[in-house]
Amino acid sequence: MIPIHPQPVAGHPEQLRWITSAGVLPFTGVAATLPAPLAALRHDGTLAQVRVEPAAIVTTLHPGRQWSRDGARVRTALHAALADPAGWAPADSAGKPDDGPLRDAAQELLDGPVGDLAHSHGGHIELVDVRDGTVTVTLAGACHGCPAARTTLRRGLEDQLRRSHPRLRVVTADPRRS
Amino acid sequence: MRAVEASTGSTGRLSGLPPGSRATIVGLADGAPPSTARRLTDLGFTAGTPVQVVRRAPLRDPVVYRVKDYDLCLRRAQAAHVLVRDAQ
Amino acid sequence: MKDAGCHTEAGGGAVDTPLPRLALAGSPNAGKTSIFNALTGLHAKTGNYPGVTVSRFVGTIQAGDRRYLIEDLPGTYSLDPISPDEQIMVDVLDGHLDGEAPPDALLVVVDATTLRRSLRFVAQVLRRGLPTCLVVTFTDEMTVRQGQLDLPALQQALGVPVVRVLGNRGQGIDDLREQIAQWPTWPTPALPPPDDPAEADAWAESVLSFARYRAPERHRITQRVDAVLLHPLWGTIVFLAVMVAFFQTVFTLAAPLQGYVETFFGWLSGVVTTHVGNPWLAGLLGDAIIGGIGAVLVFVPQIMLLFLLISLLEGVGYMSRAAFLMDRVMSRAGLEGRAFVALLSSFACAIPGIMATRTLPSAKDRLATMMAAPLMTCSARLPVYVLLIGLLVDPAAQWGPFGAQGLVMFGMYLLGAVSAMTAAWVFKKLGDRTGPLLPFYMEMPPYRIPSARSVLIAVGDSAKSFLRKCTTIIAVTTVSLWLLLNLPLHSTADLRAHGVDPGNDTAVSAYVADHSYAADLGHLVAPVFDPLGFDWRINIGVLSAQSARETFVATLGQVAAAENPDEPSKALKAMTYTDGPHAGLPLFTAPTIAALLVYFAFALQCMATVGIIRRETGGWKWPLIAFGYLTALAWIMAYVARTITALLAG
Repeated sequence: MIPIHPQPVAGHPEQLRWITSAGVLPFTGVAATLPAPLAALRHDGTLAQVRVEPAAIVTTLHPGRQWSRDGARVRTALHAALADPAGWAPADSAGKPDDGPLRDAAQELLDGPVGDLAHSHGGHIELVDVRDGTVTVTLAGACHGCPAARTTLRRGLEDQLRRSHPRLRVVTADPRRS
Repeated sequence: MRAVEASTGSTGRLSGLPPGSRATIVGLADGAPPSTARRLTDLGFTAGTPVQVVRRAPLRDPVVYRVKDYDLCLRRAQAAHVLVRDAQ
Repeated sequence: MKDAGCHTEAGGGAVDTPLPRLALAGSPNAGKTSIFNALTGLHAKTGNYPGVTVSRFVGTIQAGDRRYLIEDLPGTYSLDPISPDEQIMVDVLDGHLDGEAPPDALLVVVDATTLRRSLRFVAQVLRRGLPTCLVVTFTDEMTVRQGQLDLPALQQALGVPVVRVLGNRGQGIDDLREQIAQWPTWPTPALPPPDDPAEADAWAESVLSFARYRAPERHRITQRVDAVLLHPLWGTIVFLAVMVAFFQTVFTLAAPLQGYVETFFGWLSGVVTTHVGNPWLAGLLGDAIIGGIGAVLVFVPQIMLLFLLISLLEGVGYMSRAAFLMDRVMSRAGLEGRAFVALLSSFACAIPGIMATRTLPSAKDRLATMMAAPLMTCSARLPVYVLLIGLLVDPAAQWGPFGAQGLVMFGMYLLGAVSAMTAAWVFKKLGDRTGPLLPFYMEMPPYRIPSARSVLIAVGDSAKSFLRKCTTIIAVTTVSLWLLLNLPLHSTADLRAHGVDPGNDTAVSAYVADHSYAADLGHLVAPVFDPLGFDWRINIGVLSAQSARETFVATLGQVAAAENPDEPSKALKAMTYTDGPHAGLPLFTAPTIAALLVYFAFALQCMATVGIIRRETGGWKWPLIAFGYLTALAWIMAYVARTITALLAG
């Protein structure tokens, strides 16, 4: 199950912001197509709108509905829907696949556990570019030239990114020193 | 009593693991008494949670397990209700 | 109560608005009690929840400009009750307890080092919908072990106030007070956390990652120490060494301290006897009141040492290890490892043992342990055993390399332990016929250095409650016994008429005792104790020992001193039956002494223990059951011992 938890949206009691890790969905913006469990709630008049943010999903209730009554159902449906990322599509689905969520997710990992791991060994990993599913980073400090750094990239960054981002092709290390 | 999720590795009972081994919890056995199952869930023995066998008492029972960042000891009878997979 | 405290929305204009009620919830070891102590400044009242053996702690605190009632709920890992005593706690939270509204607000205490597991409990609490504040403890230990937690982010993710408190150092208590003062404005979560285990795990994972939580590494010292202390061989050796040290401390170290207390009261009683003119009043003051209180106070050094050791071992974390090592043994009696700690304490005194049953999560285990604890050989039995074994066994006798006296003493300790385990097993079996069987689980906390403050509080608290509860009971009994032994009054003429020289104090006291109400009582109960070989003098001793066992030695001493003031022990040995079919035959024969020894091993001759069982179970039912079954058992076993010894002695 994808970890989520709800937070209120200031000034909008009808909305809830479900915090996810960055980029669990391959787009941002209002979702036009939703997986069946969530689509059902939009169809039966529970939900008015579902909007995808880089590290959250904002759900808006129809007027007259209340979170205290409908919140649990929305949560369960959201969990089911997140298990099927392919079932989601943005309103302007004409555009080509977006690297934004992948970039956000990579940056989050580098700011978080993967970055911490590198720091603890006296090294530093920096995000250079994300293009067409390829994530490019530089290895600096003690990481530069370290054979273990390759393992860190593969195990830490690539494996974790691939779990939520099937779009990911490969993580490469930029040979230039930063 | 929750349904056992389909899993890839071989499944076994937590009580069957030797000290030092690690595994992932699959769920609780169907035969577990409801109150025990509910309590084991509340103590952190939920599907998908990694578990480690820390040590056994000199008389072989109870056993200390590490789950959700803390050490808890259970008797083998209770540990037998916990199903695990991918034991190493 | 300050008048500013009357403006609550719930008050409804009532003139006498009750204090807002707070409840403190959390897992065992989360540091709840030290926070409770820090908030209340130790002004807590202990009581009992109706109908169950769960102690209830309520205190008052000052926060902002008003006062609050705060209740320390029993530590628990879950709000999904699986036992009657857990149900009580949930009933308190839900307002289902007779005539009590739910608390106005909740403080939930979580240990930062076990946050991942604790969030499941937090989720259950937040689903209650009461105004809640999360109190995070042990953040210092978390940081030392390379853990990390962003408290403002945690507050945002949970949707309730989060306060950091280091209870043992008192840090953050003022912040908590400030937060409590604002409880009507506490935010509530936008949506209560989920109940489904998988969804709850996902919620907890997301909250933790939002709060940038990194779990602390395993405590290295704990791992290394456990590798030794829980090792099949070394662990067992250390365990036995700890037990030996435990007894050495309680008996050897406490003995001289007890000697001082005894000497002091002996001196005080002497002063009173010398300076109070009226011999009757001097006796009442010196023997009964000072002697009676002294008899209790003699045990205070031992009790305090015992509590010091227990709270040190508990605070360090060794008690969980001892329970872990002994669980298999205790399971033979249907109990669990934690019951071992209670029974261990009972070797010194049943009172701390019975108080230690609070750590047992199951009410049935608690009752079974309480019913068994008085059978453990407590220190009050020791003087009685020393006296009787001295009469029974020749000091020079050897059985193999061991002194026979020592072996008999060891046998009495063994008898106590075995019968305690058997009693526990029986009561557990009887209890298990109703209600669900509870699973066994016990957290193994990391080793921690307990703060001197918390240890001292535990020791002081226990000593206080021991003194308060016992002084009254034993003092009253001793005074009544003294009155029984010294009434009715005999005039000088009366004494002369019966051929007693009023100038001979020994003769007078012997006569007074022989013709006292106590003697009447001794004769009255004779039919009960005749089959055991007791005469009326032993009966008085046994009856007087009903309040406190060691009184037996004093009473027999008085009786013997009356017969031969110079060599009371010789007098004791030479004592014969004064009346009845055995008149003229020696009183202290092997069968009689064996019967007496066994009687003392089983009988619940301790009003303080009865009192503490009443307090811990919240009613008279269990103390009466304990008293009844132990007295009956004592008689039967004494009869069996007498018969067997008579057969063996030929």
